[in-house]
Amino acid sequence: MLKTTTLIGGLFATLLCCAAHLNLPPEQVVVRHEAHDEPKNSIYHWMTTFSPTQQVLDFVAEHNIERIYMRMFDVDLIYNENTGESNIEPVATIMFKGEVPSGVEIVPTTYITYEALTSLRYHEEEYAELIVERILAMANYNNCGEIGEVQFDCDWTENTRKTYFKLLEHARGLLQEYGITLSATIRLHQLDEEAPPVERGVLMLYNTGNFRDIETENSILDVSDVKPYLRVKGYPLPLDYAYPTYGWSVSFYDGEFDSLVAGTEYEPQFSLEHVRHERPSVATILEVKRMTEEALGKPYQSNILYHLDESQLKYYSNDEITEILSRD
Amino acid sequence: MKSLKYSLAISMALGAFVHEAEACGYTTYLPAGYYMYRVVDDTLPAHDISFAEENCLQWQQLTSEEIPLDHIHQVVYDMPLWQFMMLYDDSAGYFWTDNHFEQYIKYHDREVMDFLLLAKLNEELRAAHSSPWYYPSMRVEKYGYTLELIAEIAVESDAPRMRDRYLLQAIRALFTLGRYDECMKLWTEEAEKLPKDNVMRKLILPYIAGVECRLGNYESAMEFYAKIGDIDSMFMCARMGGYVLSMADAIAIAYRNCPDNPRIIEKLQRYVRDGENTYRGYGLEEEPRRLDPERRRMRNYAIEFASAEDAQHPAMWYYTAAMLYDMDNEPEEADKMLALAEQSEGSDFIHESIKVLRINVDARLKPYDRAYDKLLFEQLQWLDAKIRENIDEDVIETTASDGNLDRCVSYYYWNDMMRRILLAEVCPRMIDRGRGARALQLANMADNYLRSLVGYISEYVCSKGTNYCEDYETMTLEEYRHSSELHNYIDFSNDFFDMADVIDIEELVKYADVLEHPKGKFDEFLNARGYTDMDYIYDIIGTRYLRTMQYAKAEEYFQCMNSGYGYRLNVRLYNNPFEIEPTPYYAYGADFRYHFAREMAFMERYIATMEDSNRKAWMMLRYAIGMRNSFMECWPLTQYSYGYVGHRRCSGWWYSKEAKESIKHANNLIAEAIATFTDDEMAACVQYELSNFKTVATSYRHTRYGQIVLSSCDRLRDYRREFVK
Repeated sequence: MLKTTTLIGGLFATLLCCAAHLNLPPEQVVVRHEAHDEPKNSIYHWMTTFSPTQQVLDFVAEHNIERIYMRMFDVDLIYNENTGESNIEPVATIMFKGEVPSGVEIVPTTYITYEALTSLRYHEEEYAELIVERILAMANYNNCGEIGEVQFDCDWTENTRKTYFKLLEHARGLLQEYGITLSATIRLHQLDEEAPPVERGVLMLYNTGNFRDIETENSILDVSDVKPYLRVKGYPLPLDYAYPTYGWSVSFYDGEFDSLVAGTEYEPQFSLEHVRHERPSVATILEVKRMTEEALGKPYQSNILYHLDESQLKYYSNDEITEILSRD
Repeated sequence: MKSLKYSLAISMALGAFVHEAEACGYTTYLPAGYYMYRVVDDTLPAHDISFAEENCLQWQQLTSEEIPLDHIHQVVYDMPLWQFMMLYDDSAGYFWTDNHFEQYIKYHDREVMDFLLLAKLNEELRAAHSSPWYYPSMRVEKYGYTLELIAEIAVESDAPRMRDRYLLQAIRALFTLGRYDECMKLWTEEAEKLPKDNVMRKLILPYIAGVECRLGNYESAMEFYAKIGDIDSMFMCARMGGYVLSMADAIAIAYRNCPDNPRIIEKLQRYVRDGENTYRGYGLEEEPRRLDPERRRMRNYAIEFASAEDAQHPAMWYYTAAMLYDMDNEPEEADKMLALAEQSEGSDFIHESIKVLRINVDARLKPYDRAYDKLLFEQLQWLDAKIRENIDEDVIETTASDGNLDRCVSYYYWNDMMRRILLAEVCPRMIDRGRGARALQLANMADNYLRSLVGYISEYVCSKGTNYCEDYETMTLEEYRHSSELHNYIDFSNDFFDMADVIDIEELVKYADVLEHPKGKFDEFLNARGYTDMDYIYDIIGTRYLRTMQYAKAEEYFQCMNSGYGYRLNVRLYNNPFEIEPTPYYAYGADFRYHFAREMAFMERYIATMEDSNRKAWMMLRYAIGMRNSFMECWPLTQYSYGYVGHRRCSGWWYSKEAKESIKHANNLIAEAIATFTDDEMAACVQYELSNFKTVATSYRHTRYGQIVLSSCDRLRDYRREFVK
């Protein structure tokens, strides 16, 4: 019957809460580091369903997009009504309803909420393993091809830095076993901070203002918001840059922030409602690009668009997209 | 499956409609919200536990009859995998206990050890597969074992005496892996052929129902669910299949399939009860007492099941129909159904529930005459016996330490029923028929009987007049009630007190008389079960007389009380009742109501005989200010609380028309007193004290106070215009 020696040998080997232990054949996910290090036009995909339309596929082909940073799931703190406990769980897991275009490299990405981050303190190793295993399992299951990089996204601050960096360290160690690079998003306010323990970063040049403030002109991208942060000269990590190619409507009711509405077509519905339409102009994006490169140098590999949504990308011409992506 | 299809067809128009009772927090209910419907004993463990017991019994048969069941339960259900692994491998670190089952299987039955290890591994792996972190391509393993391997071992197991157990483990593993066809194969080829009372077969059935549902065979799945009485899963499956199933229909379908399944009866009880407690709650408007259409449908099913030729639980179903008629405000129909229930076959348990409903229906239908008094006495004696016979440690502890009794939370059926019937049905009708004293007797028993049986209180005790609550304390009721330090949450905020606070004073006086001079056995019975401290009763009567400004009568009752009773109240008098502006005053001490009543009564007599108009006016003014203050700044003279007390609403009187009229009357008396003065200097002095400076300056400019005002200020106002004539 059961082999007792096998059982005893593994007795204390796995103490994960769900006892899940990933065992992916390495050859399926490992790529050679050099191959991954080539410059590539890139874009983020931040929706919960990957179902590329013909227009999206055309956009990818036309702009020679060879890398998609694909958000796989968020890690959040979820309250369970039945148990009365809050658990750190993956949420908003992406559903793949279409094939990944051939020749496109996928960089699985995960967003970690502040609530989850504060709760996983002292359990960084455990959750690093869970996150990495799930990301790779998803990539494998959904035929995302060879994975050379995984990215973590988190708005960490001074208070949460220690926990986040521990999480990154553990994740990096796990990924190294597969020869996979770990990268992290870097927000402007984090430029002054110690760099996270990853191999590269992506500087987010969007969501630079406070959208809740009625006085804000453009919370997605504003040169005056970016400028103060770019006084730094250099950054300890190789950095790529992500620029916004989206817009939204910010609704205020009676002077107070009310909601964000996707797209810039939304109009006020009530007499006390005020709507601010925000979509950064190409001129603004290019000015920020110039300032960024002046302060931090050319991107390590790529300029990245945020994000792959045909309803948003239609506001930008092919030439404009080319200009934003250009590394020259 | 004919009945299922038929029922589904006719239930398409009705959606699920279930009210969940609020069971946590501090929700407060009216007495009518107590659960009366009772067809299963909810103080016993749910039926799922009985599967465990049945399983342990089978383990006992498989191993040794001498092993205690709780030892088996500890190993089979409670021992975690890691600990079992140590036992299995005879690990050096294993801490041996005196568990007989553990020792038996270790040394005498390796086959059982193998099985239990597989079962525990299976559970851990299945839990991992169910984790939110799981993703289909993950290879989940534990100590080198995967669920696939567990399934394989279980399917291939050739231990004949445990084949049924391995079948369950195989189906569990395969189900989790989504290998539904293989589950069905094991079911049809082996598990279905097991004896119907086999525990493993019973445990396999829900998985097969789930398999059918996932394979899209919804009707078959629902039939399986019906057989096991899993009505919630029937709903889930119906939704997946696009069916709209009502709860009444689901219960009926399940009952037809498996009339003896206790889960269905449990569900029926929850369903009917959900309808019981939604009528009223504190802070909510009273809704018309009518049944929703779906529960009327349940009532029709109940009548159908009860009157069937081969009816299996006729008493229970007639009782259910009667209950649902009663909930629909049709007591006459309830009465008819109840009569049928009383004559039908049923367990003692059901017949006791029937008897409770009978008391309730009688309370709603009988004329409140001497004959009913006699009947009610008998019925209360029966309930009284039930309360005393069934009281246990849980009830005692809950009564002593929780607010459940005050908040009308269902927790002790017999006392709950006594309270519901008396407070929600009998007392209001007694009052309507002019029998307030009897209503007070009954309400007092309803509120205080169980407390007196328990005899002590154990809760966070709070200082009077503050929100500061100290540590948990246990003390006798007598100590609690006589404390001069602790806030009394019992006696000034229960239903009896609320009733005494607003009922006609004459009825209250009659009640006090009945307490002192009971007129028969029923009076003695009720008096013995209430809180009949005469100081408490006299204080309520005296205070009521203060409110109606009958000071001599108030004095009469207060003077019969023991001195110092006021320290037991939750309120104190801090201001002088005879000052226009609030002025600290403590001279009255604990007996402040008595001293106030006495002084007011004295002034009444004095005013009536006095001839000097100015002296009379002074006395009238003092009297009127005292009266006014007793409703305003010095409210503890006429009130027991201000605003809310804990979860309770404040005194009903406070917001009554009577209260407003009393204040108006006092104000008129002040104005009248001022008008009685013939001496302008005195009148000016009074208006000055009332801050009516404009009146002093205009009507009394020739007086000393007139000159003071005119020389002090040139923008004059009357601050108490209500006293200016």
